[in-house]
Amino acid sequence: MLIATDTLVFFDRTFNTGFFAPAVGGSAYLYENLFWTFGHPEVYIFAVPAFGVVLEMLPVFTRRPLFSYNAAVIGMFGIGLMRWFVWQHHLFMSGLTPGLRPFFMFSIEMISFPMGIVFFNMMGTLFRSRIQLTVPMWFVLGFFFNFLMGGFSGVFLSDMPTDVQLHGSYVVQAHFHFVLMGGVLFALFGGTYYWFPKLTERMMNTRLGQIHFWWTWIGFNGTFITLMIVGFVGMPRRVVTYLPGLHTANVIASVFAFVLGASIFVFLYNLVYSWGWGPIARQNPWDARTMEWQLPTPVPLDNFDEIPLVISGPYEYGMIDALPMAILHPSALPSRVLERPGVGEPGSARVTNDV
Amino acid sequence: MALTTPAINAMGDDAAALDAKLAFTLGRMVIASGSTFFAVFFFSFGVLHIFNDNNRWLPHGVTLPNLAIGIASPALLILSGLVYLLGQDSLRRLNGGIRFSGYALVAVLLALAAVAFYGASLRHLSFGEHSGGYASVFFALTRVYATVAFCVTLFMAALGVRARRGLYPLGRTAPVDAFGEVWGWTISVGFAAFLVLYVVPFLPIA
Repeated sequence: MLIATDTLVFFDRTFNTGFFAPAVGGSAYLYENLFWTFGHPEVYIFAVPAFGVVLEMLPVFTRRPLFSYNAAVIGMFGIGLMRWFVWQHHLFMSGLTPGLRPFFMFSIEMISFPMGIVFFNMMGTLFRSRIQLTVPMWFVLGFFFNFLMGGFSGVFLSDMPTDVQLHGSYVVQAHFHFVLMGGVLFALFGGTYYWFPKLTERMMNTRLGQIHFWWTWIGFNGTFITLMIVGFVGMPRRVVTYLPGLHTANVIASVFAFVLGASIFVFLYNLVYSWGWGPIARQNPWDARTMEWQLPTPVPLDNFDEIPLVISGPYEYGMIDALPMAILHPSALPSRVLERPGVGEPGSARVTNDV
Repeated sequence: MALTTPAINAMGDDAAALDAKLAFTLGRMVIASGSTFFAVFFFSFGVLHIFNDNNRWLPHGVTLPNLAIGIASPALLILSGLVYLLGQDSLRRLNGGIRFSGYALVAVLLALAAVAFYGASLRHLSFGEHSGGYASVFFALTRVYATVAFCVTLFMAALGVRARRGLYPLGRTAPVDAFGEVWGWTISVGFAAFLVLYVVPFLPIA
């Protein structure tokens, strides 16, 4: 959509058409619509892979099956579908016909349902589990808090009465960062720590990872919780001056922003140091069930010698008598294994917290 | 299009199935992304038409472009699509790679004629690019669609050449079939563009 919108801009600039020039029948409002029809769904394009990363790591470090896998998949599809109906809340203040506001407020709030389902799956997996506090899991927990903050503030921004008050304020900026930075970036940091051993044959330093997590989490929340408060009391975005009463809060946010910025150096140092001198990783350091961890490290060129036979679900952690996810050499498979009832059906074994 | 790693080659029939999945996935991704791309043009048409800023959607003096030229392009494209379908059928039933390439050649020539008519439709108009909302959509959609149709036609020509070399034997025709879907989608967009540019704005109720 962005490419097509840019094509229209290109036509306006190069071929003298008037898509966005009101004097010749165009409309700047059309550009706003096209931009946000791309811009808001794009956030979900970032968020859904991050959800996938979190949902992938969560069962590994809780040693529990993913809570209601099917609902999580339906939730993801729901997000993919509903994201096409959310752009108009960016235009509540740009001349949207008042009669259409309730409809779009409703359609935008509807995306809370699939998002809520996915989040509920995450919480269900976490509930009464024995959490292994590895560095990737710290980032998953950080993701939960940050994304919840972003999600809650998003509900208010999709409500027309509150959006009219908060439009163009720092609340919008803080909400956006809670979703994209606090949510997506934390998930990607976690994913980096998680898959680093498979990529590089080495483990990342745990102590540096913990320092990186806490440094980032404190810097991030210090910055954006402060900016959200500042926004709630009325400070608009894109200004260089502000009311004297907001000075202290802005200084606090700036200090935390520098703290947040500096935290990336811990990560980069850990990345470079561990890649070169980190301890050698086992083939499956997290005892994960999914296929990539069944491969030797370094991963051979064509992955598997023969097509593996998948006989069980990928998230059946903590289950009595759970089979491995796949037989890597089906030719060596004893035939009686396949005769067992329930083979290959996730949830067919009893759940236990004893791993 | 074919996967060629040693492990894949050792897979035999599984490789053909993977090949088919790859071809159809690629084709359907093109269709999905292309649909979103052209949806922007149709959306712009609707918004500018409804807003009619400064009464400049169809200002005085803007008249219907030449309908005969306008209808020629989608008609030729539909004809091209039918010829391609016959080619696909011959490839599947008769293992006729050479026969398919003949059908593909005819389909390519028809498609190129359609593109030429798109070029012709931009001449001798009662309006220029700067003559209102409709004119903007007309010029942009016609030019962009003609460019896309031309590129897709080049791909069809490449398929014809490869079929002549015997690269699509029975059981390995997935790229031809997947392209058939893409070509069908391209023609559908062309027909929709015709309706939007030549029919809808000049309906008595519009």
